[in-house]
Amino acid sequence: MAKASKDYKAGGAKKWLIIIGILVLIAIIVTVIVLVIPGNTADAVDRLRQSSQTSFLENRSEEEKYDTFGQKLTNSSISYFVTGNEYASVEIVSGSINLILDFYNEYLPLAKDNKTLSKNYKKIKNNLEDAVDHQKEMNEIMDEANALKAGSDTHLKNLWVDFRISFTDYITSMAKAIDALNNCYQGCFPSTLSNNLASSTILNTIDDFLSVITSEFKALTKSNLKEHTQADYNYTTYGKVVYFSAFVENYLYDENDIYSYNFDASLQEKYKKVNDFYATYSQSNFTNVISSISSSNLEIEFTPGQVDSDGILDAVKAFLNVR
Amino acid sequence: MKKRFITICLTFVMALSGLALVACGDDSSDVNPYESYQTTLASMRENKTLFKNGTTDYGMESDFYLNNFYDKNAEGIKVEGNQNYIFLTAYGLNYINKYYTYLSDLSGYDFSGLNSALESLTSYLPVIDLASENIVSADQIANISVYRSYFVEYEANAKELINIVFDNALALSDFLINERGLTAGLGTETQTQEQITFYIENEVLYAINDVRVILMESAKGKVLTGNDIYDGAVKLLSYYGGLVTNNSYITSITAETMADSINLSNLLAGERTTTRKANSSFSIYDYENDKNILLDGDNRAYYAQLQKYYSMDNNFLQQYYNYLATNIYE
Repeated sequence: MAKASKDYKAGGAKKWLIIIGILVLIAIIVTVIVLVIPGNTADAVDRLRQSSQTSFLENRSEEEKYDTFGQKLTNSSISYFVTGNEYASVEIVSGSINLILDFYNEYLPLAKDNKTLSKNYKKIKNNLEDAVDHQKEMNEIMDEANALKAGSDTHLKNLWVDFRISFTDYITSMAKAIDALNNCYQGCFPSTLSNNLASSTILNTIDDFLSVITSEFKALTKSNLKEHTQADYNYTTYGKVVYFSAFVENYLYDENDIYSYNFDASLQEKYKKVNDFYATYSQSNFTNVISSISSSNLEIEFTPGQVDSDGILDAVKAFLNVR
Repeated sequence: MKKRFITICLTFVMALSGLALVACGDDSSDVNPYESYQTTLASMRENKTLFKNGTTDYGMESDFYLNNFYDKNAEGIKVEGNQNYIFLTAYGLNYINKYYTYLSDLSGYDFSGLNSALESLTSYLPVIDLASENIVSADQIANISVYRSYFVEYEANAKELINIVFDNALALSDFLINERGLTAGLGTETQTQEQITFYIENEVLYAINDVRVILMESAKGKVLTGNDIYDGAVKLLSYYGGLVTNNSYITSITAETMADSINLSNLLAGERTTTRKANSSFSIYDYENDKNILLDGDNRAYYAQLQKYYSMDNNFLQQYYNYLATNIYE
């Protein structure tokens, strides 16, 4: 009988083939899971539904808490947070955010489950959950403030500054969630009457408003600190907040422009002209128009670097100013 | 080795046999249902118990007016049944009666969808035929409550007939557009008046079918006056019904206008897909009759979509009707 060669080990190559085969199979399974099997997009729908019902100042007890906080501020030496309209701005912005969430809440359950939804649902869910955390912080601060005895103005001011920080974080998270919701609206309802130039212009403008308001609140958290006095205080966002509130109410609560766009030549003309602004003056200047809204006279003070012979800027002003 | 080779060969042969069996199975895709439609419609027309010639609501004449469709009140006096049933039955059959003729002399197409739909119709006709005969007999010999129970059955059968008729109409429409290519060239200079008429009448079919979905599926054939979606759907039926009367006709329109119209119809079709999602998840009949069903959670989104499509002031079907009435019809 022939001797087996010392160097030959029966089944060696076969073993390696099996190992490689298993590794390839695992790679295929992982790829399928990541690319093919969709995430649980229903989580975003559930989260949105809850948020639209429980967002800041949506329930009565939270409203009463905020009212009490406002009374404390009004009856103190730091009443300028109220008379300067920052206190009112928090209320107005929160109400508008709730209207926006209500609007998207009527669409997301019907959204086409496609790549856009897959890409955005986590951003929606995670940022809405972050907003809940910041809302909890605001409630804790209000509880502490409302328990203060009269004469604790320094402590009260510190709490308002803390509250502002949490509120800024809250609207930052909401703005990110709303941006993702906008992506879903525009990407998950392809070729429908509801998704048109009017709706994309309106929803993109809402994102722009939130971007400006959020930036200004962030700047305020950096510029108005606990040790600062009224002399250092300069709140200038009220005008944008008033425009924002009216804009959301006019275009999202009453959705006529969105639903009638495809059937109404005058609306098509209106939105073409608003969109001509981007080509004529650039996208970043659209945000500058919003930033230019004055709190003192509630006027849009943006001036273009060129003659507006086609009336495009006037069309944008009319579009934004629906008070 | 030999055993393995034989096993492989046997497996191959069995697989081929299975494929052959499937291939040689009963296949209706080649059979043109033109003659079947002709025969079926002729027999329906001749069935004077089930159908008669009449003018429905909105002035539409039809040989397929549901006959003997009467309920009785407490005093035993006959009251004609829900007019929406009569209109929808007649309208759907009128559509089929007009457009099945386009199947004449066709061959080499996939007729399976049509044959399947027609099979549903022919197999259901004896059921509703019996119901109509029962109501005639009951009228002569039965007391009021027995008569009314027969009418309930007749009405339920009529609802099912409507759904089957519309399945047939939509199958015919789908075939003529997608298989036969009847609308190829629309919106260009080569378009013909016949194509324009066919296209617009199909858009009206889809809109009326949208209403049927609410009245016969979501409302389960019941009258739900007071529910805004139901009321909106009934109002829309009166508008679209008016477009199919003998007095309305489609004007000759330019290729550019036709192209715009096609674009609008495609957007409406997209919105219809979203609305169907709401339709399939929410029944207005269940909502009106079950106190546990609330307009919260996803129901709120479904109801809102139905309102946008059927009932709010500038609902989509209303706006589309206005567009047709202004730009396409005279």
